[in-house]
Amino acid sequence: MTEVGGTGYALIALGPAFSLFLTVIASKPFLILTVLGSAMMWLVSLIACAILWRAFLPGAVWTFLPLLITVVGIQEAVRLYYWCLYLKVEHFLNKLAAKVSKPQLVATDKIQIAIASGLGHGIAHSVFFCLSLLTPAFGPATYYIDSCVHMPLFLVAAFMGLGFLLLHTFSMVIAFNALAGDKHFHQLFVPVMHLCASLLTMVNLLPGGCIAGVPMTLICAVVTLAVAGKIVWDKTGTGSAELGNLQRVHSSSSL
Amino acid sequence: MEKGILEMVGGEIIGIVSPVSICMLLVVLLVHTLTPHGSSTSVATIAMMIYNEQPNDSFVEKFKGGLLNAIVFVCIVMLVTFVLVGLFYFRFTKCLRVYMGFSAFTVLAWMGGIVAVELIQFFSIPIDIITFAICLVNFASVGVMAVFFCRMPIVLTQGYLVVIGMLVAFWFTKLPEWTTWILLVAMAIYDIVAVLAPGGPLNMLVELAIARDEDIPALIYEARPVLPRQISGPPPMSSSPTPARTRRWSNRRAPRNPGVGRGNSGSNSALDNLWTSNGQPTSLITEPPLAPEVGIIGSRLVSSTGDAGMLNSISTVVAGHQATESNVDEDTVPLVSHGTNNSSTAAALDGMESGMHFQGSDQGGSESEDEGLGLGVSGAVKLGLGDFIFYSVLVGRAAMYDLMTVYACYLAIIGGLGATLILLAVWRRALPALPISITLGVVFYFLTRLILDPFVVDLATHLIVF
Repeated sequence: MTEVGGTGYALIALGPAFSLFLTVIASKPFLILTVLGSAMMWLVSLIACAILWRAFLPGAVWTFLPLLITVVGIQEAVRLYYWCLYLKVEHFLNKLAAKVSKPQLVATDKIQIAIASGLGHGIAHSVFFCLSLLTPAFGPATYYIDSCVHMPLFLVAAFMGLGFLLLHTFSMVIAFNALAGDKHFHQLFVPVMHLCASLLTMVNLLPGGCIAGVPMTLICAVVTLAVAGKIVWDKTGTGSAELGNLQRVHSSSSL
Repeated sequence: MEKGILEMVGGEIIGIVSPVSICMLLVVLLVHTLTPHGSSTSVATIAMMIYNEQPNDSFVEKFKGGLLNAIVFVCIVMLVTFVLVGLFYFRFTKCLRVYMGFSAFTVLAWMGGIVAVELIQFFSIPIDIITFAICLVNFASVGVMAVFFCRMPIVLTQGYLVVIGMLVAFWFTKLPEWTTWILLVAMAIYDIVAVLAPGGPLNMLVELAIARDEDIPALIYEARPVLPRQISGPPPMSSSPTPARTRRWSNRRAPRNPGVGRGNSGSNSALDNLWTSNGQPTSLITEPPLAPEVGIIGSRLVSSTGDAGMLNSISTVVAGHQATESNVDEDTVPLVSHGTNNSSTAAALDGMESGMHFQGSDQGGSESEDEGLGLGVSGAVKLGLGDFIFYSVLVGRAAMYDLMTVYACYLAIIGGLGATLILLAVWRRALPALPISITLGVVFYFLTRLILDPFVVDLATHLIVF
């Protein structure tokens, strides 16, 4: 619905990503490269999923269930692979830091890399699932789908895009922390939450389902955000045993 | 708080990725606004001498015709590049310089003018012809001066280079679809041959330039300008005040030859299409080849026909020349020195730094690649304008299908560019910048268009996301 509407939808889907980018990522070139790299990896995994399922779509509604399960499985496997790559990069960065006599990577650095990776996934998701649909939204009319007569398609897609962007971003933070510290609960939390959030979107297939589907997606995102927030708080709070780890200034050491 | 490693690594890659992204964004915006479904009128260019694609030709015909067009185009580019190498070899610098200025002026004034008129028509901007003419001539003149002749703020020079790239890329997107894709692939293949094969024209050009310690005559985008060493003579034109570089190229310092360009000889108006060839040149980007620049260089020739211009471009990535003298000259002390590395870690380092800039010497492989970290004062990655153009053509053509293909191709191209920079760091020699990116871009375009697009649209319209 005209440029204003279209821009509004785009900002709903990508506004938080944009502000996160500007505050955390834009000042560090390495993080920008991380965003691009993880976006590309997500895209490759998406193309792999698409190749797998292309022959079955458009198909019966029940095909969505196995599709979602396999696709989430593939994406979580890619996340593990990404973690292995990250370990190599971290090793390399530490070597480099030693060589140029800079401090090694501290906890906040690692969290920032995790945020950047998650943001890459999230932005790629939002762009492909929401932004690419928005081109008609800049025109004079709007569009409703049959199963959701309450909100225009673009608005629903924007909210879902926002929800999943937050979900991807912060589940990467949780995943990095869990894999590094070998915390099984959090390691399981990430794929389970991802699967739940995707399966919950199937509610949208029911007539009028988007009334429930959109808030549920956003709730999943908020839960992920809360868990990630708690992890970061524990890691960097004043009571943290790793406080020393945060200080790069070697003189003031630590706890 | 002391800065960590994250602030340091990767600065130069971003310095190249940003203008490439901006150029692609501008081309996508132009294409999306002005010709969202391809150009309705076919544009007579050299790329279409043999076969003029019609929408209702059969698949085989279009493919064969496109292939012929592409082959002819590549042959012409090759010929012209050889002419350029010849001119450079025989030191016809004045001729090249005038030619370069003329070609840049043509691109900015004429192609820029046509695009501006189309935009004015589209947005119904109230402007009269006299104001428009004055603005256009001024714009073009400042552009020519900024790019070639005068010292100007680096942002202005970079901005004008991006605009030139954008205009030429937009022009290329007016070619018909099959021809465009086959042409892109053909140019990527040609690029490999021209740069890596021993008899390739660009290989010869790079070696000549290295041997003579001169700049390669081409239009090059450089992310960061540097000043020459204070010791070496008067600084050449424009530079912004950055700390002096340590020297590289060779011991004797050849004064920079500004405006060394290539051009192709003369406007031979064969046939009815006058083609005035314009050359594009120089690494006016101002700085003396003090360091074995590791850069991506593109050389370009512009040949314009009566009603359309075409740009032949070839891109190369030039790695540092390994001089044989000692690591640190007595008279030039690196501003930032970090101790020496052996080549294995150096290669690893460079992999991260994407081979920005290296110090010349290679004594048994030990060099201080610290500059490459970007801490250094020396130099930045240089990318030829031809690369900008062909990347933008690919993305512009993707924009004519849908924005999803644009995003996919954008990520593919940036990924390819990163891979090329890493290879540059590892191999340290002139490398073609087109092949990896164009291959990835074309593959991703067709994958997205045929497979991903229906998949995602189907899911999204059912509001299923994952």
